[in-house]
Amino acid sequence: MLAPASDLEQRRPLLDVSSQWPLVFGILLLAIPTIITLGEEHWSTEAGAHAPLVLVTGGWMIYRKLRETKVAARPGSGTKVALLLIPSLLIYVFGRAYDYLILEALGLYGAVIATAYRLAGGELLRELSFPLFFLAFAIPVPGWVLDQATAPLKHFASSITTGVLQFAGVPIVREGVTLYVAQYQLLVEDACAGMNAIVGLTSLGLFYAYIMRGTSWRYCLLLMLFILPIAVLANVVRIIVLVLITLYAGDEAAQGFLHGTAGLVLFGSALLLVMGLDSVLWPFFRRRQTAHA
Amino acid sequence: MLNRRDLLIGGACALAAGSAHALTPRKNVTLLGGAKLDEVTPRRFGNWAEAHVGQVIQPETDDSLAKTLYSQRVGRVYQATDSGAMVMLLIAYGSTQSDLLQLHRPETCYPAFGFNLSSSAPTSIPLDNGSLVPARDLVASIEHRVENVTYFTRIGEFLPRTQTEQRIDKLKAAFHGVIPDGILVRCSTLGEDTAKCMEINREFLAGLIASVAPRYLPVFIGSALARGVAS
Repeated sequence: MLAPASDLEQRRPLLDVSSQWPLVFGILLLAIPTIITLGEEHWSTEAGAHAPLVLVTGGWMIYRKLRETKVAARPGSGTKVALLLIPSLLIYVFGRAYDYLILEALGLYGAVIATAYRLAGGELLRELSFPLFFLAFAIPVPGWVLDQATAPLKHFASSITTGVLQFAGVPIVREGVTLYVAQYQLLVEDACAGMNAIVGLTSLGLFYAYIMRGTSWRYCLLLMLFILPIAVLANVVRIIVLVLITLYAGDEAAQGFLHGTAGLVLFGSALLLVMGLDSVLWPFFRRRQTAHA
Repeated sequence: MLNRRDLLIGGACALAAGSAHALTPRKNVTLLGGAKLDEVTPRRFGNWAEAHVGQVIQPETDDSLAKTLYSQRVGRVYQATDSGAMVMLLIAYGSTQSDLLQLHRPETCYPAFGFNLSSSAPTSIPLDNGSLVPARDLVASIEHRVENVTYFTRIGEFLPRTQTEQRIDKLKAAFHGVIPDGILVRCSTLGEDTAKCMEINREFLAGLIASVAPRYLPVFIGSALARGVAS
């Protein structure tokens, strides 16, 4: 018996390397230098530590989606590929040559999407829209943009912290730049650098929502609205831990914490907060969804 | 069988990778060369002499950040021998200016450290030969401390006065295939009388520039202005 035509089409591999190697080759030529640069300049910083994880988990999400989807690949039109590919490549060249990492990564992202469209077509790409959107969190936001966007949050976080700690009877004074804890001084900027992890925290929240609740766009957006307060709270937790360690174990222990486990505390507390929030929000959201249906 | 479209797409990607590689600037031009900023910066000039009052307060320097951004830094306090006025000087030098490693301008650093910027205005430092060094005046305050800041920056052969100019100048250097170096020269005077403090700052910076050894003058104000001073 012959299988129905649609089944046959589904089993056709997305990419036939023996004939389509120019696509793979082209993308690798673009991607490898960029990934090396990202590794050197972005992934080692607090603002970019999440990016390799985003790439891996994003790839996994795409793989999983491709296995379960019933939508067949229908190679997209050449014009549309060209319309996305050409500007993407121009942006890539400009960004790579003149050292704008965000443009370079954005150009590569566009080129990958264009190639994926060539292979999979619009319908299948729409199926993959969430993981593809998720991958965009690996694109580095320039430090000066982050600095400007998070400066008020840093101050907010440090003033909440001093307020809470003073209320709890900890001898702490904030004087603009510096936190004085008993006989120690802490630079607020050091302690609050966690705000740079805001992109990473957002992707963590999105990943959690995706795993737990599937790809409901609305719900993901709803959770993302709470990312800012969560990031501030997670930072407050981190600064409080830092201050308490300084107070009870000394400055050296605090510095060790700052360079070692501080990120873990930041992401750990953020994850707990996201989980707590999710357990409160989800029942309401689902009730509204079913009421609408 | 190879498909013409796939070949075109792959070829376009390869072309892009190749042109990016060809266009990337590789020539790092450093005007400071192997010299030490600390030795190049005069300790005594005109009415001014270095005063030893401990560390200069450097609001923008979270140590780890400053260390990665700048390859050399000089922080000193100078005192006027006649009036007794005190000026804090900070010079930060970065041998390569890239997207990641570029000068941080004080108007972003001061607020990041809790200072309030009540004004930020372009100004110029007049040199002896009549030419002007484009600079910026900032008034930054925290609690009861008012800091009157005058600073200028050099990126390659350019003296950008704003963040946007700084980015454009870096790009201009890149179009010439050059990775530039950069320097931030910042001085500040404490006091409520902003006009008077800014006057002191300008006079201080002009005196400082005038007393730098001619061969290192380009490090501070670029080759073009330095030639003007020399001739």
